[in-house]
Amino acid sequence: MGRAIVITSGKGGVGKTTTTANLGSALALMGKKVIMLDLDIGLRNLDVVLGLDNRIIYDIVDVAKGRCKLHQAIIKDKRFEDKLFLLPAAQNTDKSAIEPEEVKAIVADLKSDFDYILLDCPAGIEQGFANSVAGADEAIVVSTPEISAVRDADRVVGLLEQADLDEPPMLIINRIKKRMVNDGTMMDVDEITHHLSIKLIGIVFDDDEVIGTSNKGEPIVLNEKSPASKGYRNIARRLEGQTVPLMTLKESDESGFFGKIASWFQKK
Amino acid sequence: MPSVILKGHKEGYEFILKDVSSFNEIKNEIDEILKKVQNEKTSKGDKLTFALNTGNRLLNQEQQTEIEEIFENYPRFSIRKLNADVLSKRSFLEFLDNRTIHLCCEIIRNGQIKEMNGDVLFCGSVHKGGILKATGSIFVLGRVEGVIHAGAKNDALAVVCGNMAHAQQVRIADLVEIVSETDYEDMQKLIYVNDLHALDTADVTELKTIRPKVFTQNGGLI
Repeated sequence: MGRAIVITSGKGGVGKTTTTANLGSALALMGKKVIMLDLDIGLRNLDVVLGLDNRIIYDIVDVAKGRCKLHQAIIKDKRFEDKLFLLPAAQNTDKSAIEPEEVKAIVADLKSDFDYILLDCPAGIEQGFANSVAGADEAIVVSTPEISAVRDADRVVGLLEQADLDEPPMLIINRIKKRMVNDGTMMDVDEITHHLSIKLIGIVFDDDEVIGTSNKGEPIVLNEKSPASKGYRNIARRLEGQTVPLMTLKESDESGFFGKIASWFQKK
Repeated sequence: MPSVILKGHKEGYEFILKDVSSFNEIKNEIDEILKKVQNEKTSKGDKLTFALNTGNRLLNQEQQTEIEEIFENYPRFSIRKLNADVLSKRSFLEFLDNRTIHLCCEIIRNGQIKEMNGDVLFCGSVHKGGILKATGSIFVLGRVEGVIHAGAKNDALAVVCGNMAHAQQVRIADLVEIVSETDYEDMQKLIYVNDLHALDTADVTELKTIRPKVFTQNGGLI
């Protein structure tokens, strides 16, 4: 039986869709069979980020309303050899076009065929949120180290706790700017995790390449060298139950020998 | 064996209604006694009031009115209070709910409102944007970054005890304090409504002098 995990945040623009795409890809690279459901009906992006937008024929609303079979709407990502799939959202209607019960039924159908079912939740806490959570057994809350994102994450965790999931929600802190955390202008990871008091499953550093690769329709995890890619891969490994230490915030290894000498003088 | 005994106390006269006797017997005997004593002169004056003690029996509303009707025939006499040694389970639970300090160890997150009855001992945390409301007083051991509302049903005698320096607002009854506009010290404090109906702070140890009633044990039940 597969695990159905909703990826949500409350606030928009913190990287739910990017996280879904990359986490899905990272799990697929580990040999897991993954399907991603885009529930942002009316404003679908997941297909674009994955570079699969040109393949959409049917969508999740067509499935829910019986206009097509489930397997007809599922799109295979050919880069991942039968491991990564997408069920796209509809674009010409809105969140109310689908009911929580319908999402639940679709997820139940998918569970026997997939190891992971990732539900990409739209921003907000209205119907789209209810639809996404209805189908899920577990939840990942994505936040950035900004007060507004953390505040919304807190609200969403409260709603998730009431939603009766199998497991307490997990946290990903996304888009951490090392420099700003180190000089104290950005909230740090411990502070956010302690405040939200939920389990931290991973952190992802801010990386310009994420946007660059997204624009090309490629998930960043395919680039092994990027620190963001490493962050997503670590999260996938932790989901699989492996113990992986958190990445550190120190930037010294990037600044090199002369950077270190310079820092001695800065301290004095 | 009489079913009704008339006793005199310092506070006045009391009827003891035996809980083993039938209610009809009791009614008859009360009537007889009242008839007997209605013309007697007492030192307490012309009007006399009686307390009624029903022992281990609870009178229902109908029975109460029946007894009141007996007393209505004797304009000199009236019922001062009705007492029993027992409580119905429901009224006891109600009493318990209002009088015991409820322990709450939850996290109240942004957007959540936790409403509680009676006094609350709070060991959880109220996040920014969360609200903890209680009809009674709130004693905080945990961390409050949101809003605390004591005496939520307009009870100005309720108090808030604890460190409120990091809270957004403290409310008691209809009063609201924006914490960032005050200079709450970063320590345990007592916050209460003073005689001028304004929020005031004091040392926690002064609770006994400011609200002595918080310490009444039986809450007026006995």
